[in-house]
Amino acid sequence: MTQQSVPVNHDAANQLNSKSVPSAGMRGGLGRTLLTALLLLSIVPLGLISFVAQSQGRSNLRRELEEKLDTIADLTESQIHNWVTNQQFILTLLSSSLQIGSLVTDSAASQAANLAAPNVDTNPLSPFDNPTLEPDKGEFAPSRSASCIDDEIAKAQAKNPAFIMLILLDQEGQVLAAHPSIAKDYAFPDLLQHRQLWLQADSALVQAFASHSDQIGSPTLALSQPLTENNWTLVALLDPHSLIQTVSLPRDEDIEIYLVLPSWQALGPRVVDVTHSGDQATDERHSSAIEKALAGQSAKAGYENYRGVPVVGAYHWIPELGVALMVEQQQDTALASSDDLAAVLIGAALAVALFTALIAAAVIRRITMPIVQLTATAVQIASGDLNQKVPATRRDEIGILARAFNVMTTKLRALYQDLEYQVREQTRQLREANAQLSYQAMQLAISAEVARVVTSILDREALLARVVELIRDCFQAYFVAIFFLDENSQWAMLKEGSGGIGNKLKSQGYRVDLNQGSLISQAANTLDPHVCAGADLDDYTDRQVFPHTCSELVVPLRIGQRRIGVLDVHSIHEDAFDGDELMILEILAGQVAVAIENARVYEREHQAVEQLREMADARRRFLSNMSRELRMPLNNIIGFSRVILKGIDGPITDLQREDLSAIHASGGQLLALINDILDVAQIEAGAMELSMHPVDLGEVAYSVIPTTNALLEGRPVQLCHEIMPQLPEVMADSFRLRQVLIKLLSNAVRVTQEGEIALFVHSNDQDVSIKINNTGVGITETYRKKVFDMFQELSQPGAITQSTGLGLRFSKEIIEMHGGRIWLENETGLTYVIALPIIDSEHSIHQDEQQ
Amino acid sequence: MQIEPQSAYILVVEDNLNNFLLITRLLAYLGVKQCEWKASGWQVLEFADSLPRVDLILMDIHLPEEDGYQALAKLRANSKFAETRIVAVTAEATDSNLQRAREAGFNGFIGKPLDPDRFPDQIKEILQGEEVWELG
Repeated sequence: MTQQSVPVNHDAANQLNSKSVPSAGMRGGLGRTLLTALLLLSIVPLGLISFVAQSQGRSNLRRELEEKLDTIADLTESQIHNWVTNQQFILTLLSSSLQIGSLVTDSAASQAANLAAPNVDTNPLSPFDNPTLEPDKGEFAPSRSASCIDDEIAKAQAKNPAFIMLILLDQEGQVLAAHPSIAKDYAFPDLLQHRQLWLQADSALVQAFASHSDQIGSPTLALSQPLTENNWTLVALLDPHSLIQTVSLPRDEDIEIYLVLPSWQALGPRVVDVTHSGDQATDERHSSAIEKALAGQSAKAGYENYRGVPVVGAYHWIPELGVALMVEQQQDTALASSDDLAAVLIGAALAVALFTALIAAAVIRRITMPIVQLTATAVQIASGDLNQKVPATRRDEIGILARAFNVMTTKLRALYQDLEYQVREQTRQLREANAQLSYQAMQLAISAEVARVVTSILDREALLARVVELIRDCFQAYFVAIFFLDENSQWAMLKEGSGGIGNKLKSQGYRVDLNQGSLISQAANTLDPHVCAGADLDDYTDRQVFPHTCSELVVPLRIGQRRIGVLDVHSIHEDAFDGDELMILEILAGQVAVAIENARVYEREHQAVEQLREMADARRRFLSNMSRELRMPLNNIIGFSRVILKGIDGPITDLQREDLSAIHASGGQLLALINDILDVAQIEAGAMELSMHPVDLGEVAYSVIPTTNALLEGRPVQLCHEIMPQLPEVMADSFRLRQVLIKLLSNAVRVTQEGEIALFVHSNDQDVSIKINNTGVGITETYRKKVFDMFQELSQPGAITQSTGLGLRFSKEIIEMHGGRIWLENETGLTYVIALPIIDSEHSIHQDEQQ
Repeated sequence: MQIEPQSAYILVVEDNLNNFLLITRLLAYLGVKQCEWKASGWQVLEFADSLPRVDLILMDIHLPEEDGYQALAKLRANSKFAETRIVAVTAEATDSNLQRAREAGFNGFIGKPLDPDRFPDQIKEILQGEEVWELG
């Protein structure tokens, strides 16, 4: 079942994952790793075993081969030995036959005749093939003449083709006879070099040497046999090829047998065939084995032969011939069988590996498939598909894993759904909060804007126009209007409307009767907002004016319980005033009402201020006019009465003079009164302006002394003064200050009938003070406090009336305008004190600022 | 230049008849024989120019049409009256007005109401070439 369902799911997984998550690598990863590990585990030991076995077999084979070759070499050596012994025996026979015959010194002629017919055409007959030679020789041996020697030699030579040449030397080394005779004729020096060696030899000497002679052209074996009777020596030069031919080659064609001379010339069945290349080879390719053999060693080993081919071989030094015997077989052919074994082993190993791989693949597939499936499912889950389920039919750990995985997936799905629900819920709440916030933000924005408008626009018309436009824009209404109620609450008058309709209706003086049941009248009468939408509107709205309205909202405008109008909003949407809009518009209506009220109050206050300002101006103008209009006729009265009194207009009687004097004096009093009133009025109206300059109060005080003295004329009153020299200056209007001093002094004059009036001017650190004291009537404590109030002096009991009572009031105002003080001191009589601040740097700045 | 009151030509610019009469009485008392009257500030220059001779102009400040300062400015602009003695005679007798009159180019200042006891002497001093700056 598992195997059936696996591929389906697996394909599905692959199809899915090919889009999002790469899973092919994951799937192959585990299987491939396991397969590789198993293959390595199976192949490596097999390979190792094969290698060890093969190398073991190979070395065994080599050892066997070496033994074999060594045996061959031994055999060959003994063959060679036999051959040499045989030849030596032949030569001994020959020498015996020569000794037996008469030994005759040869004649040159017979020798020459023998030599003239050379017969070197030798038959390659093996000595072993011709065992009958020895009896032949025995027949000829006994009696021979010198001339017969040649014949004997020739015969011997003919009989034994291994003899290339036979040479008979005397004890001097002279050639007595030779066959073929070429040996005598040409006296080939190479050959004869060795003659001494031959002579000294005791017995048959076998000596191999190389001949460079053209006649022989190949390495030669020399065999010497001394003839004991006449100290001659018979020398036979043997053809080594015949020696080689005697060597029985083993059947194995690969085995190579050859001899090597100390001169590095090689002799052998195959080597001789390739003599030329063999020479070159031995020269060029220095075989260490040959070197060792020539040095007299014998061994069996593997080495490189003269051709540079790796071989297995045995080499023997044959001392009696002075040559090295080499028996070799090429390694590749010799060890071919072991290579076959290796091939078999490798094949077997591969077969086992393949088999293992197949089994492993099957097992791994069974193990990994569920894991791959799990992986694929996990990948799908990772990509967000939580509905995946792994078939969990197996009872092993993988089955447990799959079940656990399914449980986990289920939990995860539940968790995910829970989370999704929570997120959805929170998103919903967030959206609601957001909507609420945006409403609040809008409300805040409009409120802020209205508040700004309210504070920035105090003109009611502009304020209303701005507000209706603002509300229309914010609520996407198509018409917004503000109505005011008339005084009798009979009508709602349209004060402002948005857009073109608004202007039109305003110019028409549009109004709504509050006694009819329109939405506006309901809102205005109940002081509650009213909403109407859809078909109901026909009963409540002026359809002729607003045919497109689909919903209407009317909010009353009120200050506390006092209704002032309504805010009317029309929309072309039926659901335009659900919930929040109503709330916001109610708040706005409140603000608008306050704004309208503010504007109204502002207008009223503005008018009041304007009125006050105008009144103040009128008062100032009146004062100014009064001062001129009152004084001018009075001045004329005074002036003309004085002119008449002076007699300018002619002589007058005493009575007339008396009356005119009364007129003149009354005029003067009236003028003083008027002046006082006007001065005080001017101060009260704030129209009095002082011209401030640095003033020496001492000078001002001196300047009033003559005037005061004039007032005191004819009275028993003395004016004393005490004025400090070099007084510090004060900031003052000297004209007004002088006025004050004269008023105070004239007051003092008025109340003093006899005694003295004193004027003191002093200064301390802060201010300059002027004290005016008289010995006249004092005033009671009660009046002391009121003395500077207006008209007080008029009711001063006991005072001589000629004073308006305005003088002290005027003085107090003037002194205080100077920043100074004036008060009464409780001394005998009446004492006024004035203190004015001294100019210091700080103070002067302060004064400047005041100006 | 000293001028005797008897030979002085005096122009009085004064809108109030009673004031003018009072001035003429006092000038007559002083002995002045030639005295002309102009009741407004309008065309004072033209009027003065039409007179054969002007030794002193007593100029009210508060006048209809043009006030005393404007009339003074026009007179001073004319070379004929550049050096003529012109004295302000005004009811607005304050220090600041006195100062303003001095700066505007008046040769003297006599505050109203006129003191009949002092006025003839003040005129006499002015005609003798002295300057009179008195608030009243």
